[in-house]
Amino acid sequence: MACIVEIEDLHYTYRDGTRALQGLSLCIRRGSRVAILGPNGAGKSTLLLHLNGIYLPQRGRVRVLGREVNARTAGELRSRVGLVFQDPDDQVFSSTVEEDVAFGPLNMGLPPGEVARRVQEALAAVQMEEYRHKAPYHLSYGQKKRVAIAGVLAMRPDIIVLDEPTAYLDPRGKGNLLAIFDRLHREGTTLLVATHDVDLAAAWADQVIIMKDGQTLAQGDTSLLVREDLIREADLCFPLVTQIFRSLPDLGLPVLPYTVEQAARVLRKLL
Amino acid sequence: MGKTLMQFEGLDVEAHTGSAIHAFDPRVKLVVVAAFITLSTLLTSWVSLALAVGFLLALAAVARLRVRALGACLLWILPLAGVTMLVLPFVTPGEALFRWEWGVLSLGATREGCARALVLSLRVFAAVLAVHLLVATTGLRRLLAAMSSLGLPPVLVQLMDFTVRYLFVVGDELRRMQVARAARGFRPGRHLFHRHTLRTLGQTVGLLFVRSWERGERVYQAMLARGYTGKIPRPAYPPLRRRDLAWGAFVLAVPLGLRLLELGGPVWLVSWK
Repeated sequence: MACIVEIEDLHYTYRDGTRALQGLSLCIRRGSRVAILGPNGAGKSTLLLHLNGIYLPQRGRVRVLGREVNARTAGELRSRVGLVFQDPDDQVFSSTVEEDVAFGPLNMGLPPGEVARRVQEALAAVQMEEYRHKAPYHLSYGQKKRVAIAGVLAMRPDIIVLDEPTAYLDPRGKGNLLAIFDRLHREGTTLLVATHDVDLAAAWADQVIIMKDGQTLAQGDTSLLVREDLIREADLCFPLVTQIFRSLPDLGLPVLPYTVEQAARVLRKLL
Repeated sequence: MGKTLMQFEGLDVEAHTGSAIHAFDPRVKLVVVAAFITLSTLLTSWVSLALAVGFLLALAAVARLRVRALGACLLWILPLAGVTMLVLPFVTPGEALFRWEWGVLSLGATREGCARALVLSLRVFAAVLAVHLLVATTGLRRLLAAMSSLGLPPVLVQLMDFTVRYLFVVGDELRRMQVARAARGFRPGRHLFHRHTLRTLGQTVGLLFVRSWERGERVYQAMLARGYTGKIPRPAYPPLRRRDLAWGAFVLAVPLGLRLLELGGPVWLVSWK
């Protein structure tokens, strides 16, 4: 199986002695939609910062797009792996939206015409064209989030990594975000999302990685989300749909549904 | 959000556009304003200073600057410059202008003191007016770009850029902390030596520092993630137009002329007669 991201026995300890990653291994397939789940302190954010060489492995190996991540390759990888941070205020720093989206492409050394084209395209993709001359502090949280994503899209990365993308977003903002994800997925971008939202993972992902204490507890398809042993061990909860069917043991279902579509199918059969 | 700051016209990123002065090259404006301030601090007579101020006011009128914003700008310097101006007439030795006496206490103002206060206030006024004219007709963003294209150290320019950008974020954070404090019944306003008040305020400030520091770390990581290498790439400026240079020379001719007049003015005037 060809992995676009391959991690073997990764260790990372912070200066204060916190051991964030302790022998993590995983493999992510090209073009997949991956949800990384795990309790607070499982090492999700630390893992994400390894994917484009912000952090370098203290022990173990990280291979991204077939190349070992190290001090030499980190620079190039940064234009191929896009990182969207949880708080858009950490990421969107320029004094106008347009300038901020241009930051990545300009760092890549692209000519001005190409930069302008990419900025235009990225802003169109997140529907923020009309705000291009606005200052970031005039925008709402959801808008800032979209600008942060545009800033990464403009670099046209092969892999986009997002930390808690739906946190604090209103339902409409979440809907917009999922529509952007869908489009990127169709275009072949590999999407990695670290989240606490099991419902999002169940409905959206095609690969799930469950982390705990800096290690991979399990990786596989979304059916992992109904396995009681995993859910309990990783301090997660069942998807809402599963919770409903778990409270109806008398139905005697062999496999519990975890998405709305599956639930609808089961119910239709029962009716 | 940040209402009081936003009213401060200079901080707004997009200066309202429109006048001829808005259209001049920011680099020329920056150099001209710096030189104008330097030259006007060299002026020694209140007449020439008043003329310089009058010229700047005329420029401000051409630029259609809002009077209120200018007033707000002047209010900021009042605590600093105002006190000096109030004190000067009474501490400068010279010819007595008037004198109050209450028993053993006496307070006298001198003509020299008043003259110095007037010159000083005109100088301060000219400097503030010039800077306001620059910032309000250029906007912060273009001003920073001009600074970096004029060769100011990138660290310095970025420092200013980030200060303005994160002022609002940190301000919001502080406001949220204040609200959260109030929600648990904290009431400030007792004197500062009240132990609980002092402790709480100290912790708030400390926490704000820690949070800002952590945010700084995250912002830096986010910048690295987009390929930051220590320099913020900015689009190159077009070459200077002759029009901009001519405008700059015209503006600078005023304080320069006034200075020359001060130096040898009487001689010229005599020779004209």
